[in-house]
Amino acid sequence: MRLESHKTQPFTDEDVLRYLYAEMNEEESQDFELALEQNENLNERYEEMLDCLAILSPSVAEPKEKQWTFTAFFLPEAKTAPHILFSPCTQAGFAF
Amino acid sequence: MNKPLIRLADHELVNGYLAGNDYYFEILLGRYKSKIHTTIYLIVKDRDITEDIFQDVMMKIIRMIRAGKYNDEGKFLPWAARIARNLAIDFFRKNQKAPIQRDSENYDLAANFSRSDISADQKIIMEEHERYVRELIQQLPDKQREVLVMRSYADLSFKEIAEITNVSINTALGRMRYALINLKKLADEAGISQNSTLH
Repeated sequence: MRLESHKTQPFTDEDVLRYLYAEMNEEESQDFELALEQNENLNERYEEMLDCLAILSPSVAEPKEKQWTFTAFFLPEAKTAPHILFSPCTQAGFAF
Repeated sequence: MNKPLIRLADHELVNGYLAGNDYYFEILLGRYKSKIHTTIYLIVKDRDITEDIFQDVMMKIIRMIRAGKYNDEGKFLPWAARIARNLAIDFFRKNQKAPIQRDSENYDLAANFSRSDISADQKIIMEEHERYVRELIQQLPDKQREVLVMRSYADLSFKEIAEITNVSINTALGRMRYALINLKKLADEAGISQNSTLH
């Protein structure tokens, strides 16, 4: 649901929440994303809300460290890094 | 003197990674991983699915950076979060999972988490954290607590919450925003933060 025309009006703090909870339509989301890139203040408010939301379930909000670290080197085109030898997947038997 | 890595701007870390230093990417992701993860979880509401999508997001980010599709002038977080959000929404649309409904009076923060892959110690820490958060939520003003529980745990949309509580959508959104800000303040005062998270 579009509450107002964001082509002429700035996004509000309430809009930030609607974006984060995926309650904006596609066009409005695209406008918001463009505004995020261009508007430092909006970007700060967006990050602030994300910080607040993470408190609700930080055990969920925080990905498993080893998992995401490994992912960076899992791509076929990735360069082999020394610490990959100790990654969970290498230990599990993945060949490189 | 060289700037400490931790103080490098996002685009400097990206350039460092492209130049062959994988550690720069780890620093970059360490800076934003929690926010990217939260972005996904808010949409899919499932810990395991969030983990899976997070991995896809990481791969896509790496591929796009290597393909030169990251704009130096753009901010990394909105760019990465947009990728995360799009993948989460794609997943949601493809699977059309019904939102998990919970009784708002007896909500359980742990109810929607799969615990199959965590240790007993981690489970205890997680449950302890959830107990603290429940206590903090109880300290919020009634109207703020109401909307927070309805949105985050009963999974009602802001439009539905507005109708149920007989207020405008903007009022419901405003109450949610204050609830989150106050919750963060209470958590900071109690020493509960993302730093207490599990890995």
